Amino acid sequence: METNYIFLTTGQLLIASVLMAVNIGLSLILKLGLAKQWSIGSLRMAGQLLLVGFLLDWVFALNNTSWILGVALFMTTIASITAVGRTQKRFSTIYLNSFISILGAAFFVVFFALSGILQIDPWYSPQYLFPLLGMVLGNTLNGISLALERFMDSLSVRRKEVEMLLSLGATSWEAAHDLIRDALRTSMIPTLNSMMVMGIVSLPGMMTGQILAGVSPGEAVRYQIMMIFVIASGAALGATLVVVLAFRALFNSRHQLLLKRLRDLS
Amino acid sequence: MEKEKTNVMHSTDIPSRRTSQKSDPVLSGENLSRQVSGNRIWSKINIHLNPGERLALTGSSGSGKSLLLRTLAGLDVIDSGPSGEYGSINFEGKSLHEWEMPQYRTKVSYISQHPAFFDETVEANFKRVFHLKVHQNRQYDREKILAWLEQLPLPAITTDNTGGGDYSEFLQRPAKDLSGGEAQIAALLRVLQLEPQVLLLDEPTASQDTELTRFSEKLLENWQTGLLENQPDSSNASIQRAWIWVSHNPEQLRRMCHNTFCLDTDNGN
Repeated sequence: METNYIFLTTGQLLIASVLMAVNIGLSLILKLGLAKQWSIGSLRMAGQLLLVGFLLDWVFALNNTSWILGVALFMTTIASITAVGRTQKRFSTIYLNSFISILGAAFFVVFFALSGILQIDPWYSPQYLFPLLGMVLGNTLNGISLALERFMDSLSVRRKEVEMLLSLGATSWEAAHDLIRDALRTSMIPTLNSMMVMGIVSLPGMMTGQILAGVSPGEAVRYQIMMIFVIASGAALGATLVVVLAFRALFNSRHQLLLKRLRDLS
Repeated sequence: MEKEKTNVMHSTDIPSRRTSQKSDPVLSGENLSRQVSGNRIWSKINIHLNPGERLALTGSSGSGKSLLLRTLAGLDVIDSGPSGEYGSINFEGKSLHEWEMPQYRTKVSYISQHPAFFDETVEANFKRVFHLKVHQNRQYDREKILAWLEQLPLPAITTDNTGGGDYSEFLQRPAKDLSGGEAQIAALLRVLQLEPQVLLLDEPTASQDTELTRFSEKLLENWQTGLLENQPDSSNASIQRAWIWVSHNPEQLRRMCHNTFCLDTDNGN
């Protein structure tokens, strides 16, 4: 498998970084004002990834269950904070709800893939767990933030409609049903769209990586197909969980809409 | 005359023309308080609505008239008062907590000044209400609504203003094309088909011209007296129907209400 694999030296990485001079040069010539951001961005990206590589090497070598699960939980926490960070409104339990949703969804699908499909023993073997979890978290995070943003936004925009239904005798679920459905559709459509053009418009990163590492394309696509199923289901589950939790946070058992729990950022 | 009718705030002994003071109110709020972003809008209000009563709710802008209606409709959480105590709402002798809210809200119906509609015909909006679980044993009755409309004085909501008036055309109009005043009438009809006991009317004719206002007033009058269903019998249960009416028009309140509850503090009057 590692027969024709080329290790990248630090020197080679530095050569690659010369490409950023193109971006910085363009920014300076065209006065885009992005030169500084490009430099910071490049350094941050390289720093973060080198650190992650270092950390994962260490966890791989340690091969200790608590450390593995600890790092996985840490990644999940960061993903849940990032998902909330992309939304424009807040309510008091939003971070907790995001965490529960992303944890529930990601661990369910990752566990299913590792122990049910790949049948790895133990299922948390880091070589498989971290790549899978990373990809699932990234996509679930997107799904959650899209669903959350849409749901919170439409609660304030369509407040009159919701309260009209409530005052005509709707339960809170009946009153919010259209908004919940709308939020879930919004969050699922990007995943669905990318599924439709997969392999035609884009060659997914994992497959590309495997091919670079010497796996035959025919083999690599099999992994990719499994992975897309796992990712799509994680994102859908996470979005559903987070919208249901947000619904429970913003309505009470007296079928009242508690919009004052929702506040705008800034 | 208006002054005589205006009771001061906190009054619990609102006289009623039709019922003795000892009869139990159909709807009452005790010790209700409300604050919005830290500002007290009203504190420790006691408001009683007797069976058959038509109560006007008045007060200057920002005195919280809509908030009081929303609270009575159970749409807002009851706030705690200045010393931390919570008020209570009673309807038909039962505390609000004992009511299932969907059930309660079809009996005590709040009608917003700017009613919302789904983007479909007026009739589809009327029908849609019956898809709610709480109304599953009822059915939409187009004939009933047309019969109600035909009792009314003017073909004001039809495009044909020649006199005849085809009300079924009104039902087929897209709700989004209704004028503000027509939408208010559609909102009334939507609620009346659910046979509420108490209406909480938030400026129900504010977007209407004189003609439409007369139309709405007659519709509500007929509902309250039972005339709408051709049962103008004062012993009938329908006479127990009551409303709380918010309006900035003192003439209208004089026409449509027996009593007045004013939210302004004493110096405001």
